[in-house]
Amino acid sequence: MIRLIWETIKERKWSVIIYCLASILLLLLYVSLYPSLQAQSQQLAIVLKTLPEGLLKALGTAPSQLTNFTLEALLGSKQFSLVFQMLGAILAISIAGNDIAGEIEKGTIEFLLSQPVSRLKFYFARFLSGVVLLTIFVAASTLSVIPLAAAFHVAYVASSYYKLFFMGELFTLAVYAFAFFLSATFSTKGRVSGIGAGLITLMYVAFIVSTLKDNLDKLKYISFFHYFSTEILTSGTIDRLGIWIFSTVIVLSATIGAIFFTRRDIAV
Amino acid sequence: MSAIEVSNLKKYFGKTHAVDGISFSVEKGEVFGFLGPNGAGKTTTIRCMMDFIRPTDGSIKILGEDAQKDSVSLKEKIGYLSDSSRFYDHWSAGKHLLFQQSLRGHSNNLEELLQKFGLNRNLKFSSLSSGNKRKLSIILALMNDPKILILDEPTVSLDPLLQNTFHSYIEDFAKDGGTVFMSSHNLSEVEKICDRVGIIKDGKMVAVEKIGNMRLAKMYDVSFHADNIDPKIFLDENTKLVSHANSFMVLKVKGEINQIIEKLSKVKVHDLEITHVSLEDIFMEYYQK
Repeated sequence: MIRLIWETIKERKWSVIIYCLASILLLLLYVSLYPSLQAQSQQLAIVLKTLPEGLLKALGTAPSQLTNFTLEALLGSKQFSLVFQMLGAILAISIAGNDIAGEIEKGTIEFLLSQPVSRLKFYFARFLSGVVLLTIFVAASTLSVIPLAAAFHVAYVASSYYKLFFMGELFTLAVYAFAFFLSATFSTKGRVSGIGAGLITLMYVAFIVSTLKDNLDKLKYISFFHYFSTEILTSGTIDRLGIWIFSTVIVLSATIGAIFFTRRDIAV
Repeated sequence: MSAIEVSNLKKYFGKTHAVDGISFSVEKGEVFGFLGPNGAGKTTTIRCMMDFIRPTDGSIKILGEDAQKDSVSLKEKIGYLSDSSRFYDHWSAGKHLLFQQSLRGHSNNLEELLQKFGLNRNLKFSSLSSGNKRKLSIILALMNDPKILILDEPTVSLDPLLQNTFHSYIEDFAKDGGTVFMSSHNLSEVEKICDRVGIIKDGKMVAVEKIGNMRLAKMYDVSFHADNIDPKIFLDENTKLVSHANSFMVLKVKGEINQIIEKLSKVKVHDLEITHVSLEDIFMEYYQK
């Protein structure tokens, strides 16, 4: 099992390294720009304080918003409002698609299934290797802020990034587990990517629509984007319902996928 | 106990009956050829034996174990060769061999196989020729000392020299008590190395025979020269016209030869040759049934 996990990790390492580097480079950009952006925001706050209160209300802003311009606020609005989620989702769907459906499509699964390894073992070896790779990506995309901020002498709240890592991991694994279930069901990578990406897009649209119209507010509950929100960074709060939703999706998808994979016909 | 025992195996894909109630057994130390035209159900049967697909009905026992329930322990004893050599393009041949050894343990016969088939293990799979890809498939099937070989079209893409190497390896393997189940379209190969053959057509087994018995089948080629004779006088349900040109006629006769001799005795024949048909013709006869 460990051999299978290790081989799969080696197979997929380059795509994960590229995604990690992209994520870290973006974080580096924001962290390095933060001191100058903060100075600008404080100057702007002084200007805003001179304006009449009514005008500020009309503009929908307040000087306090700019004086509270933290690194967490910047990253929450730039990196963790959409970019991280999209990178994580694309990587998760791509790994899951290659894991089983991709092997069936290429025909290489016959080589694996002809070995004395049970399908269940093969399934979970592949699943766990994806979990390891995605954990590396999420850690690189969240926890790397801490050394970067320290390097640029920027103030940060370390606990927020640990919480962000925790929820980011659950978000990414929920997408991965569902895509893995699709991969165990279908025989082509394209179907897994198509359906997986389509669902993520629908969830994002539902999330956006729920913020635009009060009467559609409940739509947010069907979206993963609601449970992984930037509030983790700005206020340090974690949506407990989100933990349950993500955990349930992970466990159910992995279990149903395993049952399906062990029972299905695999003809290449 | 038979090495392979297939009973009433059925595999349906919706309305398509890919395999429809076939039964046969293969004894230990036997080389069993599994023949049939394309789409007859050979590969489906093999995939059921390997537990890649699950039978609709029936049972498959290999070395006394259930091919489905005991598939993991069985695969330790089975060397499998797929009809298409599909492996990881960016892995070298050697990495495939190492990977299999990591799952099945060290292979004692690997070096001998590499030498026999002449495979360079350092080359990437994507850069191998189709013949070398086949060599890798064969080595993977034969390494780790399997007790049973399940081979789907084993010698496709191999040159005649390597085909001979493969045939002699299979003969030695069977002499040492190994059992071989192989599908093939190469009839001369089947004739050369198989002890028995099973012929499948449209998902049904149409014959299971010893090669020796097949050779004794009553089928003849009758060739002769005769002037101004209408071939129709010879034709009936057992006699077919193969060719007729410039008074030279070739007939294929099934069953008793006396009837055609009787008919020939009534016409003026210049020369006459009656021979047993080739094994290939007998196979074709089953294919066309």
